[in-house]
Amino acid sequence: MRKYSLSSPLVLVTLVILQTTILKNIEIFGAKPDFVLIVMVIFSNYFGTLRGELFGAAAGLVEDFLTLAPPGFNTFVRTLTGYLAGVTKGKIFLDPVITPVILVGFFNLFKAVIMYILLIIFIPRNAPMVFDTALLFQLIMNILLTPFVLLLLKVTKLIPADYESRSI
Amino acid sequence: MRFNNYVSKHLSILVLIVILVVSLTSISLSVGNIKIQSHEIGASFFSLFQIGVSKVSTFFSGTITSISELKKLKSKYSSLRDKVADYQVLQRDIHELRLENQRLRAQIGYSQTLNVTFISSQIIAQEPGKLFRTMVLDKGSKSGIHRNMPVVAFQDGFQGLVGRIAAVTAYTSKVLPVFSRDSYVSARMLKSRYEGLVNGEGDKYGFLIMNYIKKQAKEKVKFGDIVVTSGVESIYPEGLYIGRVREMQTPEWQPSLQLFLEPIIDFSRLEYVFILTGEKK
Repeated sequence: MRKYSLSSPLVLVTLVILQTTILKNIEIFGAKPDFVLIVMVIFSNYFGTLRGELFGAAAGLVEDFLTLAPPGFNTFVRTLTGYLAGVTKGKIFLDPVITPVILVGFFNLFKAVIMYILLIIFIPRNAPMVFDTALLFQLIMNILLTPFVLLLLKVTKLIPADYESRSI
Repeated sequence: MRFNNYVSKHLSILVLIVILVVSLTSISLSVGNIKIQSHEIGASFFSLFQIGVSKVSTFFSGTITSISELKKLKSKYSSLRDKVADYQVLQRDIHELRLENQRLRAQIGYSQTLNVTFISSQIIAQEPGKLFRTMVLDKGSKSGIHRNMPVVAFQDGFQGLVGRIAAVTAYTSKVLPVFSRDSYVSARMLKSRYEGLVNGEGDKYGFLIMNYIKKQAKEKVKFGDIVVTSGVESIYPEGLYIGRVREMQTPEWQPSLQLFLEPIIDFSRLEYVFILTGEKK
């Protein structure tokens, strides 16, 4: 567990940087897959609330540094998402496909709702941009990618290969 | 003891509350235009990683591309040799045209419009989300970039407005693109000279909106008319191309026209930009 909890935040921070550079051109109908969300939800389900929220905070903080978002915007969204995804630890067990897809889909929408609320409060003119077709395409991309990301995390031993059976 | 037990039992909730409160405070301070130095410090640090990753990926993709390019070049080489002979004839004509061009430019004073120094830069990163649409450039304050410098690009023979520098770190800078909802550009119709204000809708594939144009301009505005920066009380110099008119709306309840512009720059294939640093001495 200790080995995994050390490497996990590094993976998320690296993913944020990769997502803004190499993966910046992966875009379908204005939507980009959110690899950070997928990995964070899986990590949070494995590690629980405390580490989930800390991983989320780390990823969100880096994202805030690298974009023109108001400092704290992504930190808030990712921390809350990481915490709630961590609540699923021991309650929802990840099979190779179905449950991770449902979890990622749910938290993708949850993230959008939190963003919308924050924007309504702080930057109302940007709020209508949250719920549009791009969100739908991002949701589809994230759902399709989730099983492969989970498999990749197991193959690269970023989470235990027998994760699901161990959880049960 | 009881306090320690309480803390350890509810540690994750306490940490969550602390992070959320700090984040919210930070957002409200930032939106209230209070500068937070930590953001610049963090941005400087993490932007180094962005530069590193971008350079490494450029190197590898460049190497792979080079190999396939080499094959193509070999076949093209022979056909190009034949063309060289034709070009020698053309060269004579070009020389004459150049002289004529110089004369014409001197006559119309076109050279004055190019009296601006610039720094070329590559886009190394983009925001993964679509809410703030940040573009990160590989040049920062060390290269002489400052906030609010206009950013342009050359595409298909046009010099078009990309946006302005919104934040600068030592080695990178962030561009607020013209299609952002936070971007406002004082603009003018190139032909009819009517003025207005161009604002983005946050979609890099979408239209820009030009507001506050007098309704009397309705008859004079045509489909495809070019809109340029007016330079009036603006950080943008006069005459930078912004977009072409694609649609016009005249709402009854508004005293002005609303034009929908297709940006001159295709932001989806933008790689290199020029930051206008000032006038030539």
